[in-house]
Amino acid sequence: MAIEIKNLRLKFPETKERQFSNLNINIKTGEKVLMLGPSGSGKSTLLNILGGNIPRSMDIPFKADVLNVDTGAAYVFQDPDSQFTMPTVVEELAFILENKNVQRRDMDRMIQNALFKVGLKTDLKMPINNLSGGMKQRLAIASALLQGSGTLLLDEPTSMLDEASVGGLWQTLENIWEDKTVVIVEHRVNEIWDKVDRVILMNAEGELIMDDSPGTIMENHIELLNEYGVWHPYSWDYAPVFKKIESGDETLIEINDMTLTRRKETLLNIDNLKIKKGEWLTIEGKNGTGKTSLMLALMKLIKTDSIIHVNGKKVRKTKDISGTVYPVFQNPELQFITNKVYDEVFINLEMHYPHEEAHEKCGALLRRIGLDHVSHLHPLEISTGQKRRLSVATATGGVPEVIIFDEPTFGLDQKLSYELLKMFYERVQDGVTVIMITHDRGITKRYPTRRLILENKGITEIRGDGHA
Amino acid sequence: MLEQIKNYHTFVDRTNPLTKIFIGILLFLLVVLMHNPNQLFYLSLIMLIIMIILSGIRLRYLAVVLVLFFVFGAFSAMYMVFYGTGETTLFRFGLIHVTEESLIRGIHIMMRGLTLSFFGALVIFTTKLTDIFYSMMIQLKLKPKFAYSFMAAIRMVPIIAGEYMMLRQARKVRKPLIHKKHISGIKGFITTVITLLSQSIRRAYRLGVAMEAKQFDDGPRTYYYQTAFSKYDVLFVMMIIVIAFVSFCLGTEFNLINVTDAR
Repeated sequence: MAIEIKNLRLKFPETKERQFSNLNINIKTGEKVLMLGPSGSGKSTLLNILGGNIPRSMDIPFKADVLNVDTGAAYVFQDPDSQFTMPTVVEELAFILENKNVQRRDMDRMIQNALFKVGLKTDLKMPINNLSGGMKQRLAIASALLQGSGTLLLDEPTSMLDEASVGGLWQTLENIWEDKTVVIVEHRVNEIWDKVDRVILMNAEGELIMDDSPGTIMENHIELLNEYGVWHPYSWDYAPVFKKIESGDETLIEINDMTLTRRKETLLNIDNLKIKKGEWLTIEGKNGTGKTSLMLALMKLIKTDSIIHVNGKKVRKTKDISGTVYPVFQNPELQFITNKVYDEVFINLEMHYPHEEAHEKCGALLRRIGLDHVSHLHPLEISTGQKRRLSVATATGGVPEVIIFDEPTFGLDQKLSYELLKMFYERVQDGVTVIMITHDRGITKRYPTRRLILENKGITEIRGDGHA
Repeated sequence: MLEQIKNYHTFVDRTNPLTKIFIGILLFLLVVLMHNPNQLFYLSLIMLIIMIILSGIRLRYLAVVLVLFFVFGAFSAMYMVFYGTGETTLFRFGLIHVTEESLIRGIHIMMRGLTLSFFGALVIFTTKLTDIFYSMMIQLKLKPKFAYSFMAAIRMVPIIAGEYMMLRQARKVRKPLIHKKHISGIKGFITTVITLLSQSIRRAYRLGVAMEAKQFDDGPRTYYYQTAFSKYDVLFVMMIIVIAFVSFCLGTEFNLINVTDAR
């Protein structure tokens, strides 16, 4: 159905400024719209209004002169773990049908049909927790299909997927969205730029500053996209360029005869892997090839058969390696231990600098990663993108010799990703070894001195041949 | 999860969960009121055999469960055996004073526990959690919002457990970089709890939004699982009655020990 909102005014109770004032939006039936904007521009909030989540489930005061929205709209959310109610695949899909009062005799046929359409081949009684991220999102699309709504609202549906699954997921969506009105909020737009009819750009103040066809925007307004830090298909042409990195010959870490297993199956075999001082390494590989497990195994946080030496010393326990090697986990919340964003960075610095200097450096670092205005807040209060930057900042101070980042740019906009890359480069210049686990081809093509690709249960090594 | 450790299904799998729970309550009363250790012995023995046959669980897992039951049973008996009062002394060592009466009473208590444990295990091994909530909604008219909230909460448990493991790992590696006062002791404990709680609250909130977006409401609905009372429920009830009756008769006819009242 068509969506029309006139003169929307919305203010979050805890902020001073209005999120939206006098916002107007019109979406025709069957139109496919992509919404872009820097973090904090209110894209997700607007999406929640378009489908009636506000005010149905979220108590946020707002007013509008005209409000024609589809309160029956189907959503696909970002986090697969918080959008399913039931334990197994079939029960989750049946849950939707039960909500619609569909008769029991019709359910099996409809469920099979939906699973077929989204290409999810799995046992019906499979526990959802055992599905991969890509499969979970397919399940979410199947749920949306069963809901039978004419409107489909997608809130960063691919942000937790690797590059291979992203393409497949958009293909699936394209197959089913023909007659539906679709609004997409998304950071990674390469795969869908040509598939949508309209692109809407919002600024940090929650204003619609551009509304045009994707082609026109690409031709005429690419600087605007860059200015607002929005990813677009040519973003990487504007990426920072660094001087070539000369990594030393000194071996910091040596891994021998490592075998990673998952549920009694071999996941990864490494005969010998040396990591040198001052390298910039990337670790790539599809979902489930053991990238994160490799990091945990190196830190001796999970049990594996392996012989690991750091600086020539054999590592037996986590204690022998932590401090020298510091991993930044994908889930940023878990790394925080204080009650204030400021303290989170400061406690790292206070160990290594005099009091005054530590405060000075802390302030400078927070400004640099754009967190100075939230430095008084609790680390768990800030937005996901901000948390991710803060978690990267926990690796500062008495700089470890090796820092491992697990998907550090995940969910960040263009500007902030580039800022992080610059920080990583500076680290490498200081002689720190930076290891990044990443899906992003834009990064792996340009920056690393060496690329490790996990495939066929082994590691393939490629010399980095980009600018760096 | 249960499906992965099951070898086969029996009629007990098809018995309505409510029947099992109701019978469980009756069985509890029966066991508490049964004072003849001979009868209780036969009851627990038959219950053990029934559990092994009808649960359909792989023997390996069954063995673990049984060992646990016997160990806990023995522990609970020991208090009564060692410290209970009685007149015919069998053994004395310091505070420990074993008498014939306390020995029998201890074993009696252990058998009570075992009987209920065996029955409980049979119920747990043959009942899907979702079935319990579905039958509570359909037969007992429990409000859907409670039933589905519980089912969603159960799905969250392994997620929270995984999160706790990751949290510990994250702290282990951060520890050497900072002063340990920030991470150890009560302060470390509090921040752990706050982090886990806030993550769970946020997840629950998002799930609530997702459920309502999927048009979930508390009104009338159809059900995927059609739980009802069937011939299997009759069979189950009859089986338990027969078991109780047989053990009552056996315990009266064939006394293993010469005590008919453990009190």
